[in-house]
This record gives sequence, C-alpha cells and structure tokens, in this order.
Amino acid sequence: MNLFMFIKPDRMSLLWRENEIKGNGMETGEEIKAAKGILQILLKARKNLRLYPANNPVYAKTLEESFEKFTRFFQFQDQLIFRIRLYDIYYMDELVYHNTDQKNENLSFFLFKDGLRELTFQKKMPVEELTSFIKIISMDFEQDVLDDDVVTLFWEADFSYIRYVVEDEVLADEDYEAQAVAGVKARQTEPGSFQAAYDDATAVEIKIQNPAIVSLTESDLKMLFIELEDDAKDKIDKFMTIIFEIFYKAKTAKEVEDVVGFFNSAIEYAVRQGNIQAVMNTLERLAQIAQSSRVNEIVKHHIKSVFHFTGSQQILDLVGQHFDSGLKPDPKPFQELIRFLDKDSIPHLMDLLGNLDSIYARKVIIDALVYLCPKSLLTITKGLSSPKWYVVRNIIYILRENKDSRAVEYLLKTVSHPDLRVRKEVIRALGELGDSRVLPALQSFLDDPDMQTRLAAVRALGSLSSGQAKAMVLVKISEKAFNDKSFNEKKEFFHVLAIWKDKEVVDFLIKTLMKTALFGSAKVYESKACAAYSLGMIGDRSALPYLFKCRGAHNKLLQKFSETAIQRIEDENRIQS
Amino acid sequence: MKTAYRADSPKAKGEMINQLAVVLRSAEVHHVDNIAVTNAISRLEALVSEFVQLENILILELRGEFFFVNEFRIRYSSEVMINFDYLVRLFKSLDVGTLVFQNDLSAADISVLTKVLVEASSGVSFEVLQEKLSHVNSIQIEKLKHVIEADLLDTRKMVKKTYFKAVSVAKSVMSSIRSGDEAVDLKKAKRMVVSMVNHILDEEQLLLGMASIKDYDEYTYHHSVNVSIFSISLGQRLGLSMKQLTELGMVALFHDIGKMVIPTEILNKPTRLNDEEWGVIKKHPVEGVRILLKMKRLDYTSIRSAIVSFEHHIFYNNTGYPSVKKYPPLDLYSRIVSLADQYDAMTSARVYSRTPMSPDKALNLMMKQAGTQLDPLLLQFFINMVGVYPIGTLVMLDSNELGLVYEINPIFVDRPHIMILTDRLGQRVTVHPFDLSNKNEEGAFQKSIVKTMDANAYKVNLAEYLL
Ligand SMILES: [Fe+2]
Ligand SMILES: [Fe+2]
Repeated sequence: MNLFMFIKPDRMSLLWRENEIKGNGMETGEEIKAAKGILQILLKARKNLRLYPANNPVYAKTLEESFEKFTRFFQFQDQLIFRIRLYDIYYMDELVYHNTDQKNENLSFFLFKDGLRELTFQKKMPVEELTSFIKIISMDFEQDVLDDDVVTLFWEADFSYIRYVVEDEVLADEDYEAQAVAGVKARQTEPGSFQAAYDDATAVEIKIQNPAIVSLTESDLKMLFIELEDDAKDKIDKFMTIIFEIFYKAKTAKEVEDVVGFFNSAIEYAVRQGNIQAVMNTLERLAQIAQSSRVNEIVKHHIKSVFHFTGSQQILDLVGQHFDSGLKPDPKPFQELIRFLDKDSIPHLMDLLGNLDSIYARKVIIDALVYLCPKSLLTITKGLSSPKWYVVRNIIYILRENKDSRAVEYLLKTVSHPDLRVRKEVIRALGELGDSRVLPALQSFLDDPDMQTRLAAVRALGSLSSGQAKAMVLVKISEKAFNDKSFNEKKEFFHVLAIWKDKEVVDFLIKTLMKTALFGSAKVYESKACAAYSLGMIGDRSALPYLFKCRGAHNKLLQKFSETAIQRIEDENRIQS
Repeated sequence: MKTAYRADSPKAKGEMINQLAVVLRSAEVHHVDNIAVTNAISRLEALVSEFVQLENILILELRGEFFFVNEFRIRYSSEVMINFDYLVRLFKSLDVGTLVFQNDLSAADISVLTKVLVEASSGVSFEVLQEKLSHVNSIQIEKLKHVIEADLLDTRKMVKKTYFKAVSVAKSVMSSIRSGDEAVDLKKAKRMVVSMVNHILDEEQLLLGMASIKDYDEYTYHHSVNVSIFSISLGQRLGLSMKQLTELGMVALFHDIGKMVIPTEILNKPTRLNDEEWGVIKKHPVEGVRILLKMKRLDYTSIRSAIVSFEHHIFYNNTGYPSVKKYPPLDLYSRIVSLADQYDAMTSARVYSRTPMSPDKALNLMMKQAGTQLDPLLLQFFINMVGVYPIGTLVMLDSNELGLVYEINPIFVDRPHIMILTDRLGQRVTVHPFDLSNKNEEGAFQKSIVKTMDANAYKVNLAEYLL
C-alpha cells in the first residue's frame, strides 16, 4: 500500500511523552463512549449543515455543540485518532461506526473512497479548524463540487491540528511507470561518452567560470510583495480582455457563436462574484463594436444576444441576490448597465420585487424599472395585478415616476385595492398623472373613512390643479360637517386650496376668516385659523386688513395664525419689491 | 509587544524563527549588550515564553532545508526569506540541528546562546558548543541529523511513483479531451496536483530531479507535468499558500491543453515544421481557452487556466503569440508558467527540435531574455530554484573528475550535490554521491566545479543516474 502521511510522526513521541507519564484520567470504556459521541455529533452536524442555511441558529448551534464534545474529550486525551475502513470506523481497536451503504451519506464509505485511512484530531484544535472540517465533510460532492474531493479540500484548508493519512493508490494505472522507465533507460549511455567528455573538458585550459549567483535584495522582495498583492484581485477584467481578443480573431460563424457562450458564462461568473462593473464594461465595449460600420449583421445579432442574456431571469436573479446580501453594494454599475437591457427583462425584474427581502435591494430594482418603463409601459402595468400589495405599490410608484398619463387607465383599476397603503399610492399617482378622468375617484376618496386616504385625495386634487379639482375642494370645505374634522385635516385641506391663488379662493378664504362664530365654537375658530394660514400661503396683500382684524381676536389660535400669515405676506412682498 | 494572534498559531511559530534570526544577525554587527541586540532578545524571550507556557516545550528543528516548530513545518514566506536563509546557513555551518527551549527561559539565557552561536567560527565542533551551553538549563542544543540513506531511498521511490502517476493522469485527462470525451476527470487531476505539491514541500529536490529527465516518448504529457512541478516549486519560493500552489499546479498542468486539437501529424512531426504548420501550432493558446471554457461551469481555477493558456507564449514584452494590441500586463501565473515552460521545452528533446539544450545553457539563454521575454524578478527566483548548475548538468571538477548534478543545495546554489562519474583520469568509476558544500579541515571547499558540459552532446543518459 502506498500511503503518504501529511505530517511525519517521528518526533511526536517527544511531545507526547509527558502525557504518557501524566497518564489519562479516563477509563477506557468512558473514552470509547466519548469517541462514539464525537462520531455521532459529526454525523448530526453533517445532516444539519446540509439542511439549514448558515444564518440559521441550528447551524451555528450544531457547530458549537461539536466543538464542545471535542473539548470535553481533550480534557482527558491529547489526541483522537479514527481509523477508517470501507464500512467501518475504529477508535483504538473498538468499532465505533458501521454502515454498509455505498453512498456518500455513509461517513466511512465517503471518506474511504477518496483514500482517507486515518484521521487525527489534536488537543488545542481551534474552533475555526473544526468548523472548516465539518463544512468540508458536509458538502455535496455529487452536485456542487466539481474538481475537488475530500482530500484536496482538506489539503487546501491547511489544517494544523487535524492530520490525516491518505492512500493515493486509487489514482492511476501502475503500468505507465514501468513502461516509461523501461523506455527511457533503454537508451544507454554510450561506452565512450565519459571519455569523450573528459577529453574535451581537459583539452582546453581550464578556466574557472564565474557562476552568476543571484541574491535577492530587500527591494526585490518588496516588489514581489506588490506582485502578490496585485494577484489577489479578481481576474474577471483580464478574462474579459481575453474573450474580446478571441472575439476579434474569430473567423467562422461557429467561432463567433462559441465566443458568445464565453461572454455569457463570464457575465454569469462576474455577477456571481458581485462584479457588476465588469459586466457593465463588457456590455459597453460590445455596444461600441456593434455600432461600428465594419461589423456585419450576424455579429450584431450575436452581440444583441449577449445583452439579452444579461437581462435574462438567470442573471437578474443573481443580480437580485447580490443586492439582497445585506452588504448594500454600490448600485451605480447596475444603474449604468440597465440601458443595455430590453423590455424582455422587465417581467424578471418585477418578479424580483416580489422575491427580494431587503428594502435596499428592492429600491435598486425599482429604480431599474423606472428606467425601463418607457420601453414598455404595458408590461409594467401587468404588475398591478400582483397578489403582493407591496409589489403593486412599487409598480404604482414606478408609473408615477415615469409621468406617462397613459398609465391612468390602468391605475384607475387599482383604486379599490384592499390595501390602504396601495390606495394611498394610487391616489397620489392619479393626482400627478391624471386628468378629468380621475376626478370621480378622487372625489369619492374625500369621504373615505380613513383620514390618510382623504388627505391623499385632497393632495391629489391639488396636484391636478384644474378648476374642477378646485371646485371639489371648495365644496368639501363648505360642507357643514367639515367644521367637525380634526384640526390637522382641515389645515391640510386649506393648505391644498392655497395652490390656486385666484380671486375666487381668496374671496372664499376671507369669507371664512370673517365668519362669525355663532356660539363662539372652538371648531369654527379652527377653520378661521386655517383660512388665515391659507391666505398667508397665497400671499395676497388684499387679505391684510382682514388678517389685522383677526390678529386682535381673543381666540389664541386665530391670533397666532393671523400673525404668522401677516408676517408671511409682508416678507414675501418685501422680497418682491 | 502583544501579538494579535495566538501564541501557538502558525504565524507565531514563524515569527519566533524570524526573531531568532534578527537577534543573531544584529549580534553579528553589535555587541551582545548593545541596546539593539538586547531589545531583539527581549522580544524573542517574550515570544518563546508565551509559546512555552501554552505548549510546555519549544522544539525548533532544522530538517533538510526547513524549520519545524514542535513538528509543524514552518512556511517559507517571502517576507522572512532572507532571515530564514541566514539561519539555515548558520545552523548547517555549526552542525546544529535542534534548539529546545523549556522551563523558565530568561533573556540572559538567550543572551548566552546568542554569544555562543555568533562567536563560534565554522570550524568549531558541535560538542564544544554544547559544552559552552551546558550550564543553561532552559536551552538544549542537538546535533544536525543527516537523512538516513534507507529513508531517502524509500522517499525516492515514492516521489518517483508520484511523478509517473501524475504523467499518467495527465495523459488520461488530456487524451480524453482529444477524443472529445464529455466527462473529464478533473478530480483525479487535482488530487494528483495536491500530491505533487505535498512532495514539493517535503522533497522538492527529488521531484525537480524527476522533472529533469527529458528523454521520454510522450513529450506532451511529461512536459505538462514538468511545467507543473517547476511552477509549483517556484510558487513555493514566492510564498504562495497551499491553495494557491494547488491552483497554480492545475493551471500549469493544463497550459498546453490547446495542443489536444492540433493534428498529431503536426504535433509529432519528426522533421522541421513549415510556416503553415507553425501557424497551426501557434493556435494552441486560443484553442486551450476554448477547451477550458467548454469543459465545465466557470470557476476561479478555470478562469486562471484560460488566462494562462492564452498568455503563456505572449512573452513579458508582448513579442510572442497570439499577437495582441494594447494588452494589460501578463498575469503572475502566466509569467511563472512561461518560465517553467521555456526551461522545460529548451532542455527537452522535443519532436520538432531533436537536440535538447543543456540545463545551464538554457538558463544562460533565459538570463539574456530577462526583462524582454521573461520577467526579470521571477527569473531570479527561478534561478535560485534550479540552481546555477541545474540538475542534469554534466560538470568537470577541479579534481579533474566528471560529475553529474542530481540535487540543488538551496543555500549554496553554486554547490550542488553531484554523482561522481569518472576518476581524475576520465575512467568510469562506480557512481557515488558527493556534496560540493563539504569542506576540509582548513575550512576550504574540498571540490569545486570548474566547467560545465552538455550531457546530451555526449549522449549521457540522465535517466540511468537520476531515476
Ligand atoms: Fe504552449
Ligand atoms: Fe508548453
């Protein structure tokens, strides 16, 4: 058997000698039980790590528990050695695990088939080392791991306290060595060779050569250090450069097609790595090539397919994960990249709105959709029928930002959305985008039982700013019941009214301001104060005499609001003159 | 000074060795009582004491060219290389193999050790040093152990096995690509590379020796493995991590994968290639990228492999092929592989140039290309690795004997280990090894190289002596 140990054991005796003298505090029976316990916890950890994501508490708990078991074992022993056979694992001479399944779930089979024959854990093994050990044995080698086996991963983990013995026999046929050696040795050195070399060497006078011994200086090492640091950066840009080189050199249609595939997989890789900037740079360069007059239609078509791939669900899902990671990556490269996407990517982005967890990520996607909206308004409006209220609200926001009044007819269909938050957003959008078509809806919302909805409706009327809208607000304020509304709501209505700044409104406000409060009711004074506030906002000097009058009123609220309004009008006029 | 990492971490272990070198080097310049030395000593004392408190004992041993701290081999990172080199030389010249620190170590004890080591001239016997330190209870020194021949023979066998397995894996992987097989067993290839990295860390010289025998029939596969070995070995000197070394080994192994789509008639053509055929050969870097990218889903290693496949003939100054305009600097791995590739190709009997160059001649040529075709800094590391007289060089000694270099001495690059082939009259003798760093009683080297010759020119079959 051709075994190789990763660490030579010869000097270990010196290190462990002390422990032998100390003896161990554990009975053999107990010790075996503890070893079995460790094996059980490793099996459990394998299961849990596959079942739960790393941020799940069970995941962390399992790792913690495993480490505890080891710590307890190391109170009595300085090392734990497991011997591995195809179906069995032994501790000392005791069988501690047996399973005859030929599957990776079987721990002994799993370790044995890759050549592992012995595993040693040493006291003082830090928790990070055990954690990476457990992570490795929990990986799915059939699905996720392509060119590694358990040994190569152990090797790369570079353990200090976990040692293992590996058999490499599994690797290759023995015959090659014999055959190659025989072949190469067959060319025997010719009998006279040495004599000839000797004669030649001594024929000329021997001169001692000055061999060029190169010694490295501190500055060489500094340069090397910079090299290594530089090498740690990701390789995507260089990789893209190479794909472009191959692209330029491509001659046949098949070659161009291949290169498209390379671009696509490089883009996918870059997004996985979170390097959106590299993708952006690539698309930009491709766009430039596509614009060149020397490029034929077939190549243009291929370039287009790369853009299309970038906007595919596969890639956009990865983009979503990237922004949803909690690290809040810079959205700028993605914002720049959006201009290369076409309308086909809209549905995928809308799907993301429903699937992403973080507000941060959703905001990035919303901004992208705002940009893409003009490419297909109709596609965007389809999102209004999403079962998720927040998606509907986001879509309304997108339509609102897009300022295209064609959206109104779709928005009107959502005014009766069961979710208040959606209704508020749609009312606002209708105000900003709408025309006379939206008036009936807004009017009905002025009587909504929810105050926030009523306020949204009146503000929307304000942003419509038409005469009809004004009339609606005036009618509402004139109603008798208006007096009984809360002060804040009233103030908001009067605030909206100030938008119109015309004689009708000023007259109406003065009339309200000068209304006699029959029973001196506080509610009436509130309305009067609001009228004063509104006049102040309008800034019409003709209101000043009335406001002076009201400043002297004995109602504190009216006094205060009149005073503020006067101040405001005078300030404004001063600035203007 | 408090260290940020655990006292028994690999970094702390390396730091102790480094600090020991700092102490000794400063004591060579200043008196032991000088503040520079005492400061260095007290830092060393703090590091060692902290370690001993955790581990009870500190055993610092030189084995071959490497230091071990309580059985852990300390890596040779570039920052500490100069200090490590110094310490290896010093230990070897004094025949000291091991320092053991225990019990209550004091700065005064280290000061005694420093004085004893620095003041000892290289001729002094180990026993004298031991005597001088006998009253220091906390420090013991042990004599340098020379590797036992039988052990060496065993290791040699194992390394040999590893080498040929690697070639056979390379062959099966690469020929499955040639035959258009879908399932390429990369796990096997990677496992092989890990095994090679492992051997290079422990028995670098043996594996380099294997890579020096060039006369095999299957050039492409041997070449791939050789380039991988030279690259890993160079990478190790640059201080790359295990993971990086494995990656570099993989990347190097596949650097010529593009040759698998070149018709074998051209690849193995025994006569000179015409321009058209050369044109086909020159496609292999790009073809390699195509193969690598189609092989599996992209990951970091396949990207690096593709980069190296594309760049390995471009040259440091962009004068090679494929021709590229406005191209960014070559990747570090490409420059490493390019060195390894050129060296192995020049010293091999390739099908399209039947006469291989002698290793030292190849090195000389490469030195002329420093800064133009080859990265000058990496070339320096490469020369230190293969030695001024690389393995396989036929040499004439000042004793008039002929010898063959079979192992490099990393500390004295111009004093390799050789096999003596003839006596001083040129008569063949029973081949026996000799270490050119051996000195006589007066402290002078016993034998030195005066001339190198081309073993190939005299049809000396290296395999007879190196395998
Ligand atoms: Fe090549
Ligand atoms: Fe090559």
